[in-house]
Amino acid sequence: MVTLVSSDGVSFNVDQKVASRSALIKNMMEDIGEDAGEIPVPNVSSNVLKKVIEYCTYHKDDPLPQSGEDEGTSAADKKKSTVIDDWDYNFLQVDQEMLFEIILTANYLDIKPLLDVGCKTVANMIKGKTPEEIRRTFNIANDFTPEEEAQIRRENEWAEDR
Amino acid sequence: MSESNSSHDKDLLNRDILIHHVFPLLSPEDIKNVSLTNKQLHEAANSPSVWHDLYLKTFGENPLTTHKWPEMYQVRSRSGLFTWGQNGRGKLGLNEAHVPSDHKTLRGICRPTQVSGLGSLVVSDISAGGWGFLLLDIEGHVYGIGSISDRGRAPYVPGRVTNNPNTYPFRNPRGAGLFGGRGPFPFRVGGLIRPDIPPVTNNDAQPTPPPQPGSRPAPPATTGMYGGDNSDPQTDAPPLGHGIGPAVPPRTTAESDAIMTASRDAAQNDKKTNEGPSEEDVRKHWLLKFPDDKHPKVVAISAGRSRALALDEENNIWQWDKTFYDQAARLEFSFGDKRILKITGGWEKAAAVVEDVGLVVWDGISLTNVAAVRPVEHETVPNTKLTGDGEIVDVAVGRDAIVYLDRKGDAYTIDIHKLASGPVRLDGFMNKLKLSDWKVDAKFTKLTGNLTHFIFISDRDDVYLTPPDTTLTAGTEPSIIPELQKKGCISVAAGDRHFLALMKGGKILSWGCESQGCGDLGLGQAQELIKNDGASERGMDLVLSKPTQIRMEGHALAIAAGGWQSAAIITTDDIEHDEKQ
Repeated sequence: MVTLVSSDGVSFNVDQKVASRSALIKNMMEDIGEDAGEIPVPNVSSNVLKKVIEYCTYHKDDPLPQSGEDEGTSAADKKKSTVIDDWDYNFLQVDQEMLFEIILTANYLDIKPLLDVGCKTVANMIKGKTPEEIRRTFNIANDFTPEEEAQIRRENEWAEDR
Repeated sequence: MSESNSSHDKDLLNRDILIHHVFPLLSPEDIKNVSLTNKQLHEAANSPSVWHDLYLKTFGENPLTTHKWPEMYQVRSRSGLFTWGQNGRGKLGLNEAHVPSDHKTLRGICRPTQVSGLGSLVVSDISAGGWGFLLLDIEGHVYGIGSISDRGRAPYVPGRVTNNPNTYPFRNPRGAGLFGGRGPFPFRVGGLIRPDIPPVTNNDAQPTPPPQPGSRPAPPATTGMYGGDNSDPQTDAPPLGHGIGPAVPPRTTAESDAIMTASRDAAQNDKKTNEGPSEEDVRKHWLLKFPDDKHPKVVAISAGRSRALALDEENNIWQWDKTFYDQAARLEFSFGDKRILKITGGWEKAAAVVEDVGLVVWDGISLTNVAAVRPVEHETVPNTKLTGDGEIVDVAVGRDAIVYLDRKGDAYTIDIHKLASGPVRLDGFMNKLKLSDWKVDAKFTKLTGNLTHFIFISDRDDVYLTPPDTTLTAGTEPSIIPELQKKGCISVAAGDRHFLALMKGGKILSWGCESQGCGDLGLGQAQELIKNDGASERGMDLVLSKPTQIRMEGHALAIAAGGWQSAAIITTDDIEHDEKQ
C-alpha cells in the first residue's frame, strides 16, 4: 500500500498495483523502495484524485503500455481512431471542468491510457462542429473582430472547399 | 465550466495537450474550425507542430522543408499528379491527344505530364502496379488508373469511348491505348501462367476480333517484344508467359515504329471525346468499388504487380485482382481479426505483417471468383512472429525474395519459393552499413522494392541497392551508387527496370533501363538522353547508369514507379525550401 496525498491534504490508501498505473508514481516507488510511505500529489485536488484512482483501480490488470513502443506501426494507427470503450465512456461522463482536470492529472502523473481516452472524448466533442458550435460547447468567448474572422476564413478556404 | 471565470478558461484547454494529444485526433477541417473560435485557439491550431504531425500522418515524409508546416500541408493538398512512361491500357491516366508533342515519344510519354480531373481530391498515397497506379485520397477512397493486369476487359482510357463490357476477355479489339489493338495480346505479356485461364493459342484458334468501324485493322500479334518478365534483353532466354502464345521474332525498330504511329494516328482520329478526364470521369471510372455498397474508409493501399490491396480502418484487407471495374473481395484469413500492421502487394505473391502471427504470405489471385468474401490460404513464415527490437517494421515482396527491416534497423531476406526456411539476415549489407559512419551505429529505416530490386535507406543517409540478378543470401554485398550516398535521398522507387529517387529539395533523379525508349525515365526524347545525359542504346532499350535529374517545373513531394511507368506528386507553388535558408 502507498498513501497519496492530494493538494487539499486528503490521504488515499492505494494498492501498489493501482498506483503503478501512473508511470510517475511507479518510478518514484522504485526509487524510494518498498516503504514508499506518503507520496504528495500537489496540483491535484481530492475530488479529481479520487476519480483518477477509480480509473486506475478499474484498469489495474490491463497490460502496461510498453515504454518505447511507438504508435504508428500499424497503418490503422496512422489515422487514429476515436473509439472509446463503454466503461471509459461512462467514467468520463462528467462536467467539462472535471474532464479537463482529469486530462491534466493524467498528463502530470503520466497515465497514458487515461490521457488518451480523455483527449479522445474532447476530440469527439469538437468533431464535425462549426466554429460557433465549438464556442458554445466549450463556452469560448469570440475575441475576433469581424474583419479578423473574415480574414481567417479566407485563409482557411483551401481546407473547406474539399 | 459554468462557474469558471475567464482566467480559468485559459487553462482548461491546455495548449500543449491540445497540440500534442487532441489535434492529432482531428481532421484538417476540424482543426480549422477550432482556429476560428478565438485568438488563443487560432494560435494553437496554427502551430507548426500540429501541421507537421498531420502532414506526416497524411502524406508521409516531405522532401522540401522542415518548417512552415501549415503552408506545406496546403501546398501538398493543392499539388498535382504527374505521370510518364509507357501509356498502354490507359495506365498513365492521360489523354494522349492533350499531351504536348515534346512529351511524346513513339512509345510513350517521356516527361512528367499532369493528370487532369484530380482537382478536388487530395492524394494521400500513390502505389504503382505492373500496369497502372493505385491512389488513396485523404478521405479514404481508392482509385485505380490503368489496369490490374494485361488481361480482362479493356481499361478506361481517357479520351476514348468506354469499351463494351461484353468484349471477349482476352481481346481488346478497339485497342487500349498506344499499344492496343494488337491481337490477343493487348499488352505486355507477363510471366504468369495461370491454371484458371484457358490456354490460348495464337493460330486463330480463337476468333479474331471483329474490325471496328473507322479503326485500322489490328496489326499482327507479337509476343516476343513485349513478352518476357523483364529479363535481360541480351540473353536469349525465352520470355515467360508462354502458356499464352508462341514467341515470334522481334520486329525491327522501323517496322514497329510504323505500327505504333499507325495505332496512335488511329487513336487520335478518334474524336468522339477529346478532353482529358474530368472530375466526373475520375469518380466514374477510377473510383474502385466494394461489394454490397460498402464504403469502408481505407487507411493503406498497396499495388502488387497484378493485384491491388487496401486495408480499411476496421482491419479488413480488400483485394482486386481481375480488373478495376470489378468490386473488391474481402480476404478472410484463418488468423481471424488479428491486427494487420502492413500490407504489400508484391510481385506474384502478396504479404502482410500481422500482430501475434508474423509475416503472412498468400498467392490467391482469382480471375473468376466474384464472391464478396474470399477465404485465402496463407503461409506464415517461420520465425517472423517478432516483438520488441525484432518486430518487422517494413516489408517488400519481389519475384524471388521477400525482404524486411526490423525495429533495430537490420535487414533480412526470405526465399519466396522456400518460405519454410525462414528469414536470413543480410549480413553483407549490415557489415557494410557499420563501416559507413564510424561515430554511430547506423540502421536501415526505409525499404522499397519491386521484381528483383530492393532499396534500403539508412538513418545516416546511405542508400544500398541489391545487385542486379542476384539470389539474396547472407553474404550478398550491396550495390552502392555514389551519387545517392549522403545526398539527402528521401525515397527510391523501382519499376521493372528503371529507378527514381526523390531527393531533399524536391528533385527527382532517374536511372536504369528505359525499356524500348518508353519514356519511363522521364528525361525526354531518346536523342536527348544519348546526347546530353550519356545514355546508350542496347537493342531497343536505353541504358543510363548515372542518376540524372529530371527537368521539370516545380518540386516533387512523392514518387512511385512500377512496370514501365512512373508517377510523382509535384507542386508548382513557390516554396522556400531549406537549401535557400
